[in-house]
Amino acid sequence: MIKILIADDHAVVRQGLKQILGEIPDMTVVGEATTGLEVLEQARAVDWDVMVLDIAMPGRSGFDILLELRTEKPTQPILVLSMHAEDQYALRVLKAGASGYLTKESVPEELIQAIRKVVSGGKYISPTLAEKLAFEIGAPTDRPPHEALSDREFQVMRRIAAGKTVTQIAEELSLSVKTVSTYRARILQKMSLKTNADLIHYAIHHQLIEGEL
Amino acid sequence: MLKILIADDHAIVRRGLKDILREAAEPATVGEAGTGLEALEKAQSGAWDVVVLDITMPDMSGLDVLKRLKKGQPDLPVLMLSMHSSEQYVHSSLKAGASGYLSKESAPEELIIALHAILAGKRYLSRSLAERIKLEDSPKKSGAS
Repeated sequence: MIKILIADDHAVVRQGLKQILGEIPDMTVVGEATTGLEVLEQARAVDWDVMVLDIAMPGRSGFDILLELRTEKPTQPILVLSMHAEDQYALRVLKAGASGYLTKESVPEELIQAIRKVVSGGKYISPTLAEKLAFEIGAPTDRPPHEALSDREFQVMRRIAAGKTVTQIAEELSLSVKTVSTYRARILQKMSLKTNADLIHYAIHHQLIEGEL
Repeated sequence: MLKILIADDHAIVRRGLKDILREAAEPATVGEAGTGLEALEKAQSGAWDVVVLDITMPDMSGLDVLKRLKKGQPDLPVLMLSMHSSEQYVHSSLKAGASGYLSKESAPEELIIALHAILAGKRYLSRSLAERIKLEDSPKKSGAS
C-alpha cells in the first residue's frame, strides 16, 4: 500500500486528491496538511511513502518546506503540485530536490502515474517539460535572467516584486535586514535591472508573483 | 433534480467539488467545464440551477464569463469560487452579478451552505472574506494591520 501525505491549503483540492487516490486500491491518504508548518509536523509524525505538495501555501512557502524536507527526509519522494505552468517553476523545484512536478490542470490519471513513478525511485516530468529541458541543455544563453538566481535569491526576488519591504522579507525568511539588502543588490545586478519597479515589471511580465514561493 | 455546472480549469478541483456535492447527499446532476469558453457555452445551452465558477481560467476569465452569462440569463445564480480573496475580485464579481463568493480555502461544508443560500435567492459571502474586506475598508490607524 502506498501511503500518501497531501499538502494543500485549498480544501477543495485536498478533497479532489483524496477522491482520486481513494479509488486506487493500493494507495491511501495517511495525512493532510494545510500550511507549511503543518506539512513539517505531519512529515515528522506520520509514516508516509510519498508527499503531494502544493508549492504555494500560506505561511512558510511550499518551496521553503521542500528545501527543509530535503534535508530531513532526503530519500522520500516529494511530488510538487502547482497551479503555475511548468515553464515558470518546474526546473527550479526539481533542482531543489522534488521528485516530480505536476500542474493542477493535470488529469487524475497523470497524478496516479506520477505517484507510481516517484515511489519506485524515478523522477516524473511531463513530455512538455522534458522537451523544455532538452532545449535548456542546447541553448543555455536563452534562459531568462531570473533562472540564473540561486534559490534564496529567487525567494527574495519574488517577495520584493510582490511589494514586501526588506524588513518583512527578513522576518519571513529568518534573515537579517542587511542580508536581504545584499540579496537585493545581487538580484538587480544578475538580472540587469536598476530598481524595485523594474523588478516588479519583470515579475509581472514573467508571471512570477502569483502565490508564494 | 438539481443541475449544477462546475467551471474550473483544474481537474483536481472539479473532482473535489463533485465529491463534496456527492458527500452532501444532494441529488444533483453535475456538469463540468474546463475553460471559460466551455463554461459559457455549456451554461448558455443547458438549463442549470446554479453555476460554480472559477475566476482564473484560460481563454476567458470567470469574470468575463459571468458578465456575458448575466446578459442572457440575469436570474441564473452564480457562485464564484476562487483562490483570489482580495477585495477587488470580490467587489468585481458581486458587481457583475455573482450571487456569492467563496475562497478555495473554505471548508467543503461552506460550499454547501453557500449553494443553499444562493439557490434560495440570497447572496453569500463567507464570514472570513467579509471580515477581511471590512478591515481593508477601515481607515488606517497607527499600529493596525
